Amino acid sequence: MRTRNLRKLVYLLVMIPVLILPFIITSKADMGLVNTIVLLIIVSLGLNISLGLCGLLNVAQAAFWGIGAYTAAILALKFGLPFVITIPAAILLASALGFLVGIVSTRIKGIYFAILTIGFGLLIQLIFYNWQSVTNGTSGLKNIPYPDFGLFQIASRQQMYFILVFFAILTIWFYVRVAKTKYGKSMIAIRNNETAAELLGVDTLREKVLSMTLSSAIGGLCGALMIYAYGFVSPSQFGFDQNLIFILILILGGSGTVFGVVLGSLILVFLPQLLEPLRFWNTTIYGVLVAVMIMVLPGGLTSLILRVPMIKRLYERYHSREDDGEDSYSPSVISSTTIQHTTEPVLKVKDLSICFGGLSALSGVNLDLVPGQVHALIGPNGAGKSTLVNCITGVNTPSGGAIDMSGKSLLGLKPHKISRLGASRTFQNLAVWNEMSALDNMLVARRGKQKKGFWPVIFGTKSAREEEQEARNMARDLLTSMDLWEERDRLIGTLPYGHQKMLEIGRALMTEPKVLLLDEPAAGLTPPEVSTLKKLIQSIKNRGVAIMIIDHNMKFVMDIAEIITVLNYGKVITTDKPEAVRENVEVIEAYLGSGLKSSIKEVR
Amino acid sequence: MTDFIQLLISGLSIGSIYALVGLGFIFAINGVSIVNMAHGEVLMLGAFFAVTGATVLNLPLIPAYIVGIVGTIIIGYILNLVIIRPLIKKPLFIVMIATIGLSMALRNTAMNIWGANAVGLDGLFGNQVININNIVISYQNILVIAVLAVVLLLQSWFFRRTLTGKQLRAMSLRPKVARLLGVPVKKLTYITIMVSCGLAGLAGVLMGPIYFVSFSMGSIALAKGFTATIIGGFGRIEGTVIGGILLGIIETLMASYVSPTFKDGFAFLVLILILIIKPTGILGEATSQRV
Repeated sequence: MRTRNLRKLVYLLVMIPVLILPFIITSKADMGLVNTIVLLIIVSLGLNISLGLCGLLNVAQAAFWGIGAYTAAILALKFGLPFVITIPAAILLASALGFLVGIVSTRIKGIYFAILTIGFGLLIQLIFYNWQSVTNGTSGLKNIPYPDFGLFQIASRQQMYFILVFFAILTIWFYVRVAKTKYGKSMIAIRNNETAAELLGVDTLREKVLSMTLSSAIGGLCGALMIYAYGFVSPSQFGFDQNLIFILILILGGSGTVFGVVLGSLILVFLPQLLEPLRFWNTTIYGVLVAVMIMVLPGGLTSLILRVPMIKRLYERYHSREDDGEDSYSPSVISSTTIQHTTEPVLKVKDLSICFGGLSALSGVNLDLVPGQVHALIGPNGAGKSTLVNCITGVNTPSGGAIDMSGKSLLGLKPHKISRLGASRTFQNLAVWNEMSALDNMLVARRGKQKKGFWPVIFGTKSAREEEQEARNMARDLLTSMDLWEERDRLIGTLPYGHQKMLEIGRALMTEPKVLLLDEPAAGLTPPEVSTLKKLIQSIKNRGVAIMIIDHNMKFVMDIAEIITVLNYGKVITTDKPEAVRENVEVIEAYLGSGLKSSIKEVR
Repeated sequence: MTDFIQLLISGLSIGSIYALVGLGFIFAINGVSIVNMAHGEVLMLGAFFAVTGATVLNLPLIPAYIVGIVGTIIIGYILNLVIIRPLIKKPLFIVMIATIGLSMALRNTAMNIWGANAVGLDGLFGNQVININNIVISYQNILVIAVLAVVLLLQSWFFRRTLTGKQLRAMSLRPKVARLLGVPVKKLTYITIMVSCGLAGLAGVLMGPIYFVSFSMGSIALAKGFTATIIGGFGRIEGTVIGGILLGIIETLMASYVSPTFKDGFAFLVLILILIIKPTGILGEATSQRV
């Protein structure tokens, strides 16, 4: 079945029961449960943007939920403002706070951020309890009327259900758009390897702030909807444990998918019904479930379900891009007009020095990279080669000297900016983004060059789609030239090591670099693969890119390099043609130790 | 002025408890890289065991305390067996979520066993106080501070002078290499977790007389404990002690001069501020030198 038709079928199969449900359910209590499920779906999907996609240890979603809830409740009860005002207000306030927390997240990582969000959440709940004049303290706010839209008024849980479903569909649409477009993919890249993402042009600070803001905005929306659904709000709803409920939904269901979130929400609401006799032990059961699930089945029940071959096939069919996009492929026009073949260096490193504590890792290093030239950087382990690359790419800040690219100084610039200016790299230990396909790895690297803003991309305007198509065209061309097009949809971690290494180079090329830094590209490659690598480097060279290669494979280096710089103990020993370097006594000493001068001369 | 000194001493005392909680918490982090979010619940269990010992088993106070501490050591053994060991090499996110789940389960279980009400635990010295120049210092305060000092000395001696201590340091720095060189990693992991939980139990029985024992005392205790280690420099022993004492003092002063009901809020505010301004804490983050 064609993907388009499969999707239409799925939508139909889902929407029919969703629309009929309130007419089948007779008891008010059951309707309340259903409304709770819908609310949970919304808030958990929101959380997934920061926690699931971006990998931020955000355990404060309950706080944003609460902020949205109280904002809407206070505006509705004390100021009599209508639904259409309270909802946006709640979203605004929650996302403003989420934005602030997001800004802080960029300074503090991992566990510190988790602790910050815990503290934040506890603080917010304390405010709910103690700011009596505004929040009414422990008693909470009651008798919140159903929404009134003028033309019609909501008067029952069934009718409220339709409002909630409307927002749920909106949230699902929004979430899918974020996840499928460059934003979601950048976030996953950040989660898999933040450093690589930053070095390939992704503004990691901005993405993280964005993900927190979106997460909290949706959390706030859900809070506001909740007060209308339940008619009251109280501080006890927003304790730290509530976060665990959301996380449990994501873990149980499987955080990658909308289906997983729906499944998780269903289970979480119906579980207590099943466990009625044990209801005092609910929390214990949740706690144990969370611990067990995350250790044993982190992909959730969805990952189990997807193991059934037929379901997996359907899933892939549903998500396939075969029917759209591929038709509009056309060979990309990479600005190959950069083939200048001048002798004017595009990257100039002058007198560079850097110290780590008392250790002088680099001192007085001079290096020039010329367009279309392959320049090798060699030296014993610990000589400072990686440090030099780190200085150029902005990971380390030198203590002295200058680094200029096309006349512009790179010192003090953030790595993603340097990448966008035209310096890209590959990594000694593969730094691919494991959870994404080969194609997606390529696409994320294009992010730095993609200018379209958030809303155009989310709504899929013509120019946004064109920009995306251009990136896909470029990726297709590069992948095809490396013979990897057939493997584009495979999870990159499943590809052979050699293919992953080639892919890293292709990924770096997506940024249209003027300078390409390859860190041990030949390491771990078989001889045929090294041949392919050499051909690839040749074609990159012909496009006018300045290439710097660090490697220990001397044969490879001697074959491919036109000029070699040798580093030892942070200083340049010599910069010369390969034949000269091979004979250079100091170089030989650096690698083999002194006292061998005479014996080598004799052997020769 | 005497009021101020009074508050300082109170703050020092409660700060010592926070420091103790933090020390137990980072013991597991430094030893086996496990951030145990259920540490507070272990503290709570220690307090409850002591209460049960005193009321149900009618033990005198000191044996009741011992029951509390030994109980948590046993809990440490069980936790290591069932949940900690499988978690050891897993990413931080999974460890945190799993132990948060554990903490929820323990808290709820305690509520079902011992009820939702707070109960009292008698202090060793009852309400006896010393009075110096109108400054009232309770014996319990002195006890707490003394216990902290003893624990610090013991830790220092243990890590520097005993073979097991050195093995533990080796293990925490390079587990694979340590194992290859004959360090009994499995046994030491048990010891680490059991000591960590024992320290939690100790903090619990010290906290009980001051704060009452309830199923929810653990989460606040842990929050203070890790605020302490963050203030002082995450993972550092000296840092945690300084952080704990500072936190205790700031909190007591704030509660008295600004607002008593918002007392716990100050701890969270301090936490957030430090994380924003200097996340590595006053002394700076522990790096390779962690003990």
